[in-house]
Amino acid sequence: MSEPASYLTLQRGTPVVDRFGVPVGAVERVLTLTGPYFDGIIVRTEAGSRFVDAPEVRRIRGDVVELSITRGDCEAPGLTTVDGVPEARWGRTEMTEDDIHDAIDALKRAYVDDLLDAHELGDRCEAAYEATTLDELQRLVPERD
Amino acid sequence: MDHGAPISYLTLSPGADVVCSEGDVVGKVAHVLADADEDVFDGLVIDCHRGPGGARFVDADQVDAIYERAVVLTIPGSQVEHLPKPTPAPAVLENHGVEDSESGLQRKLHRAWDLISGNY
Repeated sequence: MSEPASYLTLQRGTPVVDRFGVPVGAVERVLTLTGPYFDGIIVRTEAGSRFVDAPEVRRIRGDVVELSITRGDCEAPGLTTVDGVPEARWGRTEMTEDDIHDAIDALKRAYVDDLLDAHELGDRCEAAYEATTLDELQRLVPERD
Repeated sequence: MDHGAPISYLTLSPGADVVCSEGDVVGKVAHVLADADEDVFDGLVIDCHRGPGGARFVDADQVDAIYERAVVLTIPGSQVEHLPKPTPAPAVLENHGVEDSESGLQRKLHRAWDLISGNY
């Protein structure tokens, strides 16, 4: 795994994943405020470009940016625009079927990558259907160092 | 090591040992990828045993023999970790014809991915 990195060294084209590790798109631009302060990133997704505000950027590593929102939130634009780019939706807590499927895909990826055994995979997939919040779902998915 | 009698892929069960060409156990059978209606054996998803889990896809032509308790591969143990991983199929937004068509291996890797989640 790559080392933690800064927005100052973030490269255009760096892959962006959502809170479950699902691929969302790639970095198109890094936005800063006077200071400089990190304002957020514009992500190129299959649904178009989206502005992701700094608080929704959970972690920046050399080869990937992790968001604290879901792929669905990133693709479904919010109400505001930044530099003409729709802002990703944020602040959602209720779950959808898509969230469950994305979390299960993340669990399968963890199994394939040797982070979970087959029994843990089964138990956590079942627990995913019992979860009631996005945070509960995310706690089922192993952290990647 | 007694692998038992030779059998068909149709009766191969998950949990059988997977043995590399040098004779070492390198994992367990997790899933058998096949089209039973067409009587086509496509390969295996194996649990590699390197950590808690770890899945790799073994193509049919890398399987030398199938026995009651073990599957023998044609490849050495050093190549097992380089076998492809099951992968989810990408979302399809548009169909642009032949250029978008998957390779045979990609199709198998996507089917292998679906097998992992078969019960979910």
